[in-house]
Amino acid sequence: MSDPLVLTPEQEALADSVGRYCADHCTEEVQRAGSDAFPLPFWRGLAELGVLGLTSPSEGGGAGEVCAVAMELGRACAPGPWEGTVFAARTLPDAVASAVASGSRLVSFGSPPLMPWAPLAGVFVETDGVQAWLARPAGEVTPEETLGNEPWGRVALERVVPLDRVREATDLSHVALAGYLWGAGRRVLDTAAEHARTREQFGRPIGSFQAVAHPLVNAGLGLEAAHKLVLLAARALDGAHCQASGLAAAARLSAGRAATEAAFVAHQTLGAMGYSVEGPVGHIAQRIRHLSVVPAHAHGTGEQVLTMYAGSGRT
Amino acid sequence: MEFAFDEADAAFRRDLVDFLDRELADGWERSEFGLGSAVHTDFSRKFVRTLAGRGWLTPHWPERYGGGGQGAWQHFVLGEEMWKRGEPRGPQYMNVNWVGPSLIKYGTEEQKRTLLPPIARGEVFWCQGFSEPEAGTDLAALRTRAVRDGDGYLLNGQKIWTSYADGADHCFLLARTGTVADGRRGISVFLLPLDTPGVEVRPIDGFVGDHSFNEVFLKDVWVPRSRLLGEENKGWDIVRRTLAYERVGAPRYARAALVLDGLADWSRTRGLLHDPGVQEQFGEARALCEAARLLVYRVIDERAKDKEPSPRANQARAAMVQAERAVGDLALDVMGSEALAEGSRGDAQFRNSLGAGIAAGSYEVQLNLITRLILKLPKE
Ligand SMILES: Cc1cc2nc3c(=O)[nH]c(=O)nc-3n(C[C@H](O)[C@H](O)[C@H](O)COP(=O)(O)OP(=O)(O)OC[C@H]3O[C@@H](n4cnc5c(N)ncnc54)[C@H](O)[C@@H]3O)c2cc1C
Repeated sequence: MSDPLVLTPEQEALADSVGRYCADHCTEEVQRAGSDAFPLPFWRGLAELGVLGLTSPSEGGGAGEVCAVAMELGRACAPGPWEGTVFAARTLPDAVASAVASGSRLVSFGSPPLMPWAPLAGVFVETDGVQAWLARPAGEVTPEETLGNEPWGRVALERVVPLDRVREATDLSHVALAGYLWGAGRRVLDTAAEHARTREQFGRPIGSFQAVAHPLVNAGLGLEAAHKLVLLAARALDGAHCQASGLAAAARLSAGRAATEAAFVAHQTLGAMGYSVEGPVGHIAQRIRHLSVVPAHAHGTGEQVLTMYAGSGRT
Repeated sequence: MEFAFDEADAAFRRDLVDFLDRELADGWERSEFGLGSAVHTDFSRKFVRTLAGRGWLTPHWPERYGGGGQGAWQHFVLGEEMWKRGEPRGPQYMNVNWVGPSLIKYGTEEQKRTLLPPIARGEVFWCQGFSEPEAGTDLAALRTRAVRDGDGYLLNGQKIWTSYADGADHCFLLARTGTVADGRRGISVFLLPLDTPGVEVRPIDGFVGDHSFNEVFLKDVWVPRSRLLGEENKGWDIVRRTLAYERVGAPRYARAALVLDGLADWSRTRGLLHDPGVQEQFGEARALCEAARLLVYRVIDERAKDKEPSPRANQARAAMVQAERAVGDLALDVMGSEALAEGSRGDAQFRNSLGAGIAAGSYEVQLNLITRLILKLPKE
């Protein structure tokens, strides 16, 4: 590797500003807000930072920027339809895209009938992973509570117009989700490591038991690798590398896996405290597990990774 | 060791299955979800009385204490069939498995006479007051104090993670009668009525279903001496002996297997079972459930033969944790987004499997014990 896999100074600065904003505004209450109390002011604040319209063609934010922001949002366990917003801002016609970018309309992005954020959404984007459409509800939305505490709903959709730039938007949304999952995974693992350093049983910190320590180390290794992969995918996308789409899909799957492992290890390290709703990891662990589930429209993600081999010159 | 059930056990299982088919036809929905939820506990209150009426609440207890004088296998068949249905006995399984038996073994005649019949009739719930904020895995570090006071004891301290305490009548409580330095040798068991003045139960929100977790605060709680179980300072032995089988007391693999069957149906109707990857995952999860079942049977076999408890119980419990987790992961992988809807099979199994490695003896501790007692490796 000739140059180090890091964010550019501009991307770092963006990450810093999002990180600072979240430190101030993504309170415990915001992180845990249930489906009946979406923290709109928090979401609009992100819009003011330019985060929600980052990927619109006029802003021209690339995968590096998405990655920088996503990792901070994940660490903060920020609520909101982040993946869908990244996709929508890139693909929607200007008028609708600007309502999304300003935070005045929330995006529901997926394949019906079970749609993320549907009860609160003002914009519906249907995708089958290859094509996508601006859509509208063809009936009532039936709300569903979910594992990750996101308001979802069942709804039939009617396609309005097919959208352009679906491939690149899909790649960006993979990076958006991968970065978020990595950040959230890092957060639960840091929390667990801190707990292992301070919680004492048998007169010593539980982290001194290798049965506790080694799983933390293993989960950390998984996250390190995922971190590099997310950065690599972002760079490949921004450099229009021929394997970029495959890397983006791989980053999504790897970050999901690593974060899920971190969440699980964190639970085990915290003991019963992990099961308390007010405890420090439960709500994040559930969101991680939730976001790591591969939805139907992303079922091709695994095959997507395989395209990397097709382009590797070995075939 | 033999794993064919004899005719009497098999007949017992058949009768039981018929009975459960009938009794649970009504009002027992979503049985694989939410052990410990209010709905579940309410249902179980009526159900255990019916069960008691049939003599099936405490079939393994001696007849003179309201039992049926049956053996360890029948007790186990009962537990298995109950867990297969999502444990409609609710918290009562603790009474049946170990609260009652420890009273039978260590109680005074008066304790047995007053406390056992209501259990055998299915009229009371008990909870387990062991864990404290500073004493989890290291239970012997518990600090709740019991100081002699006239004809009884004065209790002060705090318990935490006490399942079912909000609806229970009594608490099987561990408290320190000796000094902290006495460790295990300074602990006693108290049979505490939860309506005693000075007891305060505060619920903790948990997310393993609607499982009720609680904190129990004890402030100058006076209990008569007649509520001490066994000898003062000998509580650790009582707990060790009576809970020896509790590692496998809840045949969780039976519920996991039930969920797995449900997932297979779900997948079949959606044409997913043709996928070789999905098949493999089902195969693995099923194998882990079966392995857990057989390892548990090995422990029951020891129990039926009145052998000393052995580390095989730790193996069996570790295997059960693995089985539950495999089914939990499979649920989310196979169901995809549908698994995320709260109350779906996927969601419920995932939450249940999270708790599996902590409650009733953590996974790590099982591995440590297996390391020492079976592999004979030195202590860390
Ligand atoms: C669903 C559920 C129901 C429960 N119900 C009850 C109840 O009814 N009554 C009751 O009294 N308690 C109950 N508990 C509490 C349970 O008994 C404790 O959670 C358990 O003893 C672990 O204690 P802890 O949570 O304090 O974790 P800790 O003891 O702090 O352990 C944290 C982590 O460190 C590990 N660890 C600790 N010591 C060692 C060691 N020496 N070697 C290796 N690893 C180690 C543990 O395995 C765990 O992974 C319940 C818990 C759960 C999850």
